[in-house]
Amino acid sequence: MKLPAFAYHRADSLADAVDALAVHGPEARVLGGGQSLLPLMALRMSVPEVLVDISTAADLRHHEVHDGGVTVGAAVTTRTLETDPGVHPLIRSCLARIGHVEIRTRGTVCGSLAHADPAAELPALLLAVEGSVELVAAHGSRVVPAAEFVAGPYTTSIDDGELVAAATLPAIAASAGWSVREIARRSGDFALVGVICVLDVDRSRRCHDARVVLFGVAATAVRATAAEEALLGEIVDGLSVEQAAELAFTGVDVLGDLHGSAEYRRRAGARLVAAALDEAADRAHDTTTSRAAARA
Amino acid sequence: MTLTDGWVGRRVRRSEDPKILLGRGRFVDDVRPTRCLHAAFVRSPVAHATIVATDASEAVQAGATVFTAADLDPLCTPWKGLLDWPGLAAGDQRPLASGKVRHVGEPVAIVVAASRAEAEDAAELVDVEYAELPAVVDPIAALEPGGPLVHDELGANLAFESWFGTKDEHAVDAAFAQATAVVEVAMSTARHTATAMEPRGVLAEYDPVARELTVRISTQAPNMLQSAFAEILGLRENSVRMLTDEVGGAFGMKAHVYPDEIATCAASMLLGRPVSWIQDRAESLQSDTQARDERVRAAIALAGDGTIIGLRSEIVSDGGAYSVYPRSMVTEGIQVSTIMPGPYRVPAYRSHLRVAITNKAPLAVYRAVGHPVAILVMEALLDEAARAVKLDPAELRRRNILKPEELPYTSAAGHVYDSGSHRESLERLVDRIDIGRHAAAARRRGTLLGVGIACFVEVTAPGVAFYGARGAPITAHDQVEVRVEPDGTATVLLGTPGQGQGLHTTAAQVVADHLGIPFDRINVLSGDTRTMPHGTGVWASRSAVVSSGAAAAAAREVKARMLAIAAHLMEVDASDLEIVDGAVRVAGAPDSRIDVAHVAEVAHWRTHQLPDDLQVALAAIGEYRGPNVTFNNGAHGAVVEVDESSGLVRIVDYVCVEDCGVLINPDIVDGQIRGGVAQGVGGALLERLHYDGDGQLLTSTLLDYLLPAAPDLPDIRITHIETPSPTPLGVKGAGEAGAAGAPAAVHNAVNNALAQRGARVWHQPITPERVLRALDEAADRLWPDRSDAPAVPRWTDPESEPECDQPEGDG
Ligand SMILES: Cc1cc2nc3c(=O)[nH]c(=O)nc-3n(C[C@H](O)[C@H](O)[C@H](O)COP(=O)(O)OP(=O)(O)OC[C@H]3O[C@@H](n4cnc5c(N)ncnc54)[C@H](O)[C@@H]3O)c2cc1C
Repeated sequence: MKLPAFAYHRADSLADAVDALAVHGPEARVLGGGQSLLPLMALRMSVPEVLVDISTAADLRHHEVHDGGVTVGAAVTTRTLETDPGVHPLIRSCLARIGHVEIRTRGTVCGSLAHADPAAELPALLLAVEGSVELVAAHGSRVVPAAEFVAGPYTTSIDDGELVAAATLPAIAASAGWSVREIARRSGDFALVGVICVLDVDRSRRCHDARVVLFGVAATAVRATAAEEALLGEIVDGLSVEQAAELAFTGVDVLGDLHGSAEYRRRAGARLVAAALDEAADRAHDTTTSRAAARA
Repeated sequence: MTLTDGWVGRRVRRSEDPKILLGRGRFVDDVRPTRCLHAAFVRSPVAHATIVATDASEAVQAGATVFTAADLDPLCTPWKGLLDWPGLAAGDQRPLASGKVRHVGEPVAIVVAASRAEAEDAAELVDVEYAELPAVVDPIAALEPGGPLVHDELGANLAFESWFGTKDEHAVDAAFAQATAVVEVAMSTARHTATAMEPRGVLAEYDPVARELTVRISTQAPNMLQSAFAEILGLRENSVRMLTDEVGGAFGMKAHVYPDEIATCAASMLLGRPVSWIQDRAESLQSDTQARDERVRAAIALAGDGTIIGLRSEIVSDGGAYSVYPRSMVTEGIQVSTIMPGPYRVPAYRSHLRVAITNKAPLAVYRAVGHPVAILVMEALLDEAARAVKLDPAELRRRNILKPEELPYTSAAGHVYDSGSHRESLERLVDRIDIGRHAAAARRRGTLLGVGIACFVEVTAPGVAFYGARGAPITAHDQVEVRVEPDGTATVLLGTPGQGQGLHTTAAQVVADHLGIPFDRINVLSGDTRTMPHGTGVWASRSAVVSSGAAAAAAREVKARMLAIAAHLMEVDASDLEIVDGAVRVAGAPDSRIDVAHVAEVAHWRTHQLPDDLQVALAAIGEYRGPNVTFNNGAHGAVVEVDESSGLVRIVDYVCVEDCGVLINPDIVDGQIRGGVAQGVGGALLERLHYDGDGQLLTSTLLDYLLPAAPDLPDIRITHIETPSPTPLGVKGAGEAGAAGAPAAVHNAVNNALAQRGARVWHQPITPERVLRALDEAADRLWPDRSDAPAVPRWTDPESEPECDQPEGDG
C-alpha cells in the first residue's frame, strides 16, 4: 500500500494549475484534498504520472455566498463550507454527512464532485439544487449544469486538461422545505441509501416544485422523476407522500453490494424517501424552524 | 507517599502510557538498522490454483531480489499445527506456496528491495501463472465426499471430528424424550479477524558468521516463536533472539508461525542483510489468522418448571486452508462445543464437532476463542426456551444458574468451574438494567426496543494440558525475575511481554506489595528472549494470574533475603521484621527502621558487614504454580433500538457485570472489558470477512470490513464482583470476558425487539438487511432474492459416537 512513483507539481494559482495540466496531458491528475485519490493510489488502482496539487492555490481558496447560494473555489474544503453559518442549512446538513471531520478537513467540495462517487453526497446535492460547475482549461472555460456533469460511476464530463475551478450551489426558494436522509451502517459511512428532497408548496400545501434525488443506490446519483411527478400539483399529505415514495425507485436501476442488496435498498429506500418528504413538507410550511432544525 | 493497604486493587495509571502517547514506543517499524532491505510479497489473487510458472525476470531487472518456494524450501522445514488430538489432520505449510495456492493472500514470492515502495513496484512485475481449481468455500459442502480437495494428500477436507459432553451417550436422548419443551436454533457467526492497530511486522537480522538470527517482531509469544523459528530454520535456540518492545494489539492473532514472517527471516539469511517486512492493512485482512467462522445447530430440553434437562449441539467449524503452528485450527471449534453449557446446570450434553478445511485464510484463536459463539447459542436457546415455557428470561436463567454452594462444579463438557458468582452476577445485571428508562425515547423515535442478557463463564490461565501436553511448544508457567538495585529500586524482568494491555503496570503493583517497595520505584522490562527469563506469552487471559503469580513468587524470595540482611544489620530476628513503603521496620515498633536502600547498598557494596553464609544476591526468578485453570464469570446486558424502516440496530445501553476474582487494577480491567465488548459488538453487528463463491475475499479494505468506532458504541457500564480464585493471588483472567458475552447480549436484545413482530434473526453480523428481511417475512412480505444466510449443519446420527474427548482451554 505504498504509492507508486509520481512527479509532483504544487500549483500556486488556477493559471499555474491549468498550465501544468496542459503540459503533462492525460497522465496528470489534479490533487485536491487527496481523500479519495491517495487511497486509490495506495491500492494502485490509480497510477498517475504527475499530480498537480491545487490545495494551496490562493485564487481557488475562496467561497462566496450569494442570496443563500454559494460558489465554491476548488481548494475550499468541505469543512470550511460546512462551518460557514451563512451557507444554507440544506447544504451544510449534506456536508456534515460526508465521512468524518478529519476527512472533511482535507477533502474539497470540488474534488468530491470531480470524483463522482455514486454514493457521495455532493453530486446528489448538485442535482437537487440544480447547480453547475465551472470547468477551466488552459484554452478557456465552460459552465456545465448538474444534469450534464456526471456521466457514470467515477465518470464526469471533465476533459483532459480541465479542472473544476468552482462549483455553484444555488439557493432553493425561501418557501421551500428540504430534507437529507441516509441509511449507513456506521456513522460517517457512505450511505447504503441516501435521499435529498426539496419541496415547495403553496399555502394550501399544493406542491409546485419537487426534487427528489437518490444516491448510493445506482451508478450515479439520480432524480426520482416518477416520485417528483407524482407530487407536482398535488396537495402534500400522508397519502400523496406515501404514493410518491412508492414510486421513488421506478425507472431507477438499483445496484446492490456487500452491504445491502438492491432489494434492500429499494425497500428501505422507499421508507426513507417517505420520511424525507414528510420532513421537507413540514419545513416548507415554516422556513424559520427549518433553519433552526438544521443547526440543531 | 504512605500506603498501608497495598497497591493491588488501586486504579494506578498505566506506566506504559506516557511513552506510547508521546510517540516514544518502539514498534517493529520504528527500528531501521543500517543496510536494511525491505520486503513486499506477491500474494495469491485466487483461492485455489496450481502455480504453473513464476517469472521474476522483470522484477530482478528492476533491481529487486525475488525468492520463491524453490529458494526458501531448502532452508525451512515445513510445519503444521498438529496437537495430539486423535485424528487431527492438516496439510504442510511453507514460507511460500509451492505447487498450489490455497487461499487468497497466500504468499507466493518475497520481493526485497531498498524500500518498501520499490519492493511493491517490483512485486507488480513478478508474473505468476495460475491454473485455477474449483474453490472449496462452504465448510458444510466441503465435508461431502467427492468434491474438490484443498490438500490432495489428505484425501478429504475433514481436519477433525469429535464428540464432547456427557460420557453416557443415552442420557441426552432420554432427557429429550422426557422433556416438556424442546427448542432448537440454527445459527452462524461470520469470519472475522483481529485487525490489530499495529499490523504484523518483522525485522530479521541474520549474522552469517555467528549463525545467529535476531528477529524484532510484533508477537504475543516471543519464546514460543524462538523455539519454533529455531526448529523451522535449523538454528540453535540460543542463537535465535526475539525482540518485542511495544506490541500494538494481538488478540490471539499474533500467537502463530506465519509464512511471511519465516520468509522474511529466510531472506535475511540468504542475503546476509537485515530485512524488514511491515504488513499493510490489505495484507492483514488477507493473511492474519481469522476466527468465529462457526455454524451451529443446537437444541435444549426443559422440564415443565423450566429446568434444563438436556442439551445437544452440532457444530461445523470452517478451519480455512492450514492448521496454524503450533496452536492448530481446532481450538475454536472445541471451545464452541465445550463452553456451551456455560454457568448453567446442564445434566446431559452431547456435542458433535467437525472442522472443515477450506480455501480461506487459516482459522485460529481470537480473543475469547469459541466462547462468543458458545455463549451466543446457549443464550439464544434460553431466550427461545423462555418464550416457549412463558417465563421471564431472567427467571428461566435464575432457575438454572449455578449457586455458590454448588462450586466447584464440573460441567457436562468436563470443565471444572473452580469458583465464581454466577447467580449474583445475573441478579446484579438485572438490577442495573432499566428498560423503562429507554421506553419513551424509543416511542418518540418509533423504534422497537429490546433487551438481551447473557451469562458467561470463561476459561482463564489454563495449564499445560491443552497445548504442551499435546506436543506444542507452549507451556503453562512463566518466569519473572525481580532484582533490587543498589539504591533500593527494583527491576522486574517479565518472561511474557504485553501486547498493550498494561502488564508492566500490574506486575509492578503486585511486586510493590510483595516486596514492600513503592510502585514508582519499580521498573518493569520485557521483550528480549536473550536476556529475559522464559515465558510462554499472552494467551487465554493468563498473564494476570500466571505472570503476576510468578512476579509475586520472585518478590517474596527477594524480600526474604532483604529481611535476613536487615535482621543482621538491626540485630533483631527476621521474623519480627516487615517491609512497608520501602522501609524495613520492626513490626509494632515503626520507629526502629532502616531504608531498603541501605539494605541494598550493604548487599551490593558492603558485604564485609555480613556473615559469610547470608545470601546477598537480591535477585530471584519466580515461577507460577497454581491450579490447572480458573474460570471467571459474569453477565452482559444490552438494550437496543431497532429501526423498522431501515433495519438498523442502535445499542442504547450496555451493562457488564464481571467477576475476575481479585482486581489488581480496576482501570485496566475496565479497559479490557470495554475493548472486548467493542469487539463483540463488532461481531454481532458489523464484522464479516466476506468470501464469495469463488473464495475471493471481497472485504479487502476497512471500507468494507466494518469495525465499530466510538460513535457506534454505547457507554459501557461495568460492575465488578470479586470472588477470589484458588490461585495464589486470588486473581482470574479478565482480558477476554468482554468479547465473550457481548455478541450474545446484543443478539438477544435484537431478537427481543423483533419478537414483538414475530420476527427473529439467526445469523451474525446482524445487518440491516437481515433485520428488514426478517421483519418483512414475519409480515408475509416475501423477498424475491435468496437470503445471504449461510448453511447450518443437520444433526448427525450419533450411531457411531466414540468416547468423548476431554477439553482444556485457551480463553
Ligand atoms: C474514510 C473516508 C470516508 C469518506 N466518506 C465519505 C462520505 O461519506 N461521503 C462522501 O461523499 N465522501 C466520502 N469520502 C470521500 C471524501 O469526501 C473525499 O474527500 C472526496 O470524495 C474527494 O475530495 P478530495 O478533495 O479529497 O479529492 P481528491 O482525493 O484529491 O481527488 C479525487 C478525484 O478528483 C479529482 N479532482 C480533485 N479535485 C479536482 C478538481 N478541482 N478538478 C478536477 N478534478 C479534481 C482528482 O484528480 C481525483 O481523481 C470519504 C473518504 C474517506 C477517506
